[in-house]
Amino acid sequence: MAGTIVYMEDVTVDFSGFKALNRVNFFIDKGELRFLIGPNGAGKTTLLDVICGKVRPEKGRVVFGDDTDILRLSEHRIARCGISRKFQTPSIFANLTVFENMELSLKRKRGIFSSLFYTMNSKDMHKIFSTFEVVGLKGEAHQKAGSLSHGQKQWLELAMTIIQEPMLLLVDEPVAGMTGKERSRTGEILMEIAKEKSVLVVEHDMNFVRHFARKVTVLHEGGILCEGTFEHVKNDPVVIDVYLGRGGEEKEDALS
Amino acid sequence: MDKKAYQFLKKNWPYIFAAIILILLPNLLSDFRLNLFGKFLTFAIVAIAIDLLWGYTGILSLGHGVFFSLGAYSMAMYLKLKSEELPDFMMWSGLTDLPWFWRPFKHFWVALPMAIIIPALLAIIIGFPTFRARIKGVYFSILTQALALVFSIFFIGQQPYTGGTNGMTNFQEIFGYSLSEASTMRGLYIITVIVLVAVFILSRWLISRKTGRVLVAIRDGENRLRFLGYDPSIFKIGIFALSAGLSGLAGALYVPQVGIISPSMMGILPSVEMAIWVAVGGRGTLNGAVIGAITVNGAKSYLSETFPDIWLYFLGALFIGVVLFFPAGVYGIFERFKGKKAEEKGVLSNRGETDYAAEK
Repeated sequence: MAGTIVYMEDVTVDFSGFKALNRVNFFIDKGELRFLIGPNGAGKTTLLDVICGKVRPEKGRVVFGDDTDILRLSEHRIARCGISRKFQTPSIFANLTVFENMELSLKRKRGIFSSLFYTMNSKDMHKIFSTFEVVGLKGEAHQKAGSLSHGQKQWLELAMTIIQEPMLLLVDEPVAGMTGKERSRTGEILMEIAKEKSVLVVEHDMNFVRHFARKVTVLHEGGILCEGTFEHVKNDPVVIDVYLGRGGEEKEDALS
Repeated sequence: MDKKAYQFLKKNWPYIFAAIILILLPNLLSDFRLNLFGKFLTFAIVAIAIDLLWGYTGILSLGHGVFFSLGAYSMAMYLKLKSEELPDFMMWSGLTDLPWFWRPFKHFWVALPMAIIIPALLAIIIGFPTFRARIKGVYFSILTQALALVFSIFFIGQQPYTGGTNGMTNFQEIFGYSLSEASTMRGLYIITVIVLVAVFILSRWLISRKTGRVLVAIRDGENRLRFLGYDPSIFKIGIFALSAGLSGLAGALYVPQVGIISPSMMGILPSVEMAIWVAVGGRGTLNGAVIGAITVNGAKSYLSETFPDIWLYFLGALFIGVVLFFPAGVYGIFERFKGKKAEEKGVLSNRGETDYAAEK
């Protein structure tokens, strides 16, 4: 697998004067598992938002795959191209069952009439249940998604991003609000996905990052500070100064 | 009896029972009451249409009186031309020739489809730019209110073509049957029942398909759905057009039974009232919509006969009471007493429990 899956050039996002991203150049290779870290307000989520079309940059270029210009596409077209997104707080359809949430996420024709005449075949059924195996939601399939626990909701959304059969997954803080056990389970799920697809993960939890990250990008005040292996990043004096060296939980997390 | 038929009966017996009662009503009610009930049933069709849009998809239209009336006017034009060569109000306004756009309505098979197509088309014309521009929630509702206002003023102003404030009345016959005969009214009632049942079945089918899930998903997390690769605006335009078309059909059934249509039906007040039927009956369930339309209108005519001076207060209290204490409507109370989880999807049970990052 050669080449980049997504490529950003000189991207600037301006929220009425505040530069959430400032002339960022960034790329991910096909099949890569990349972690994005940085202090609050560094622009991590904004970067994901740009790639999935939620936020439009003032300046710059974003290319997906070989030559798809993302900035010209609406959100649903970007999703159909093969980019799927997991949001920070679980975004699932609370009034639909877990199974129905998955049904909606299946990679199928998504127009009015194709939805009207769509009947689930055994292949799609199999796909859904094999994804349930991965995230462990088999027993909850026919429960309303709103009644799941927080961790299960996170997994459901992860499962929804997987079943879209994307080429690139954008995952925003997948372990937020999870217990230790759930965290390592989520890490394993991500590793499993990354075997076949490119994954970009935003994460605050340094323990989690250290455990699962291969390559890490550090964002700070809308720019890229440093990029490399976790060891490399951890020992970078600038990173220690602006991020890891800051007091509070993150420091303890990082050094423990 | 084979097993499949038994299963079907077991699941649907309340509906079959209700349909049988509706069919038998002509033998039980006086002609006057039956006619009144026939009117309620056309309102029930509107309630279903609004429920698809509001209860399931989360789009509150406060302008459905317009769609209903456009359908009603289409049918009224046909009925008028059946009764008179040149409608009376045109003569009073000094017109000597039938305007060109009136001519096709001489034919029933133009007038009836037009009663559905014109409202649906209007919904598409309104819906396309608004939904594309992602105008939603209360802004959309205000927009539809403006639509109701604009249309009622327009119809009042165009006296020579629409009959102005008085609208259209004095219809004589339909298909050669006199509209003053009780038997014609019974026939129209039965047709209304059949259409109501058909609309109900169609809507239930729609909701049972994946489309139904997409609509609920639009209601609960439109932006999330976008990132799953759906274009919500297309679905919204589609359901708005369907809802408008069904309302127009209801209007077409209303006119011959009631005998008059005027701009007072397309104003803001009746449009809001239509939304109230659904709110009282129970949003997000088709049963609730039908029950709501019949209950509110039944209460309205009972109260206005019994307490002509203060019945509006009762109606207001009913609305406030239901919305405050029973957000799932009359049907929701019924379901709660049955102690059974609402079977139909989209009941507003745990709405608002999850926040959606995608919405921010």
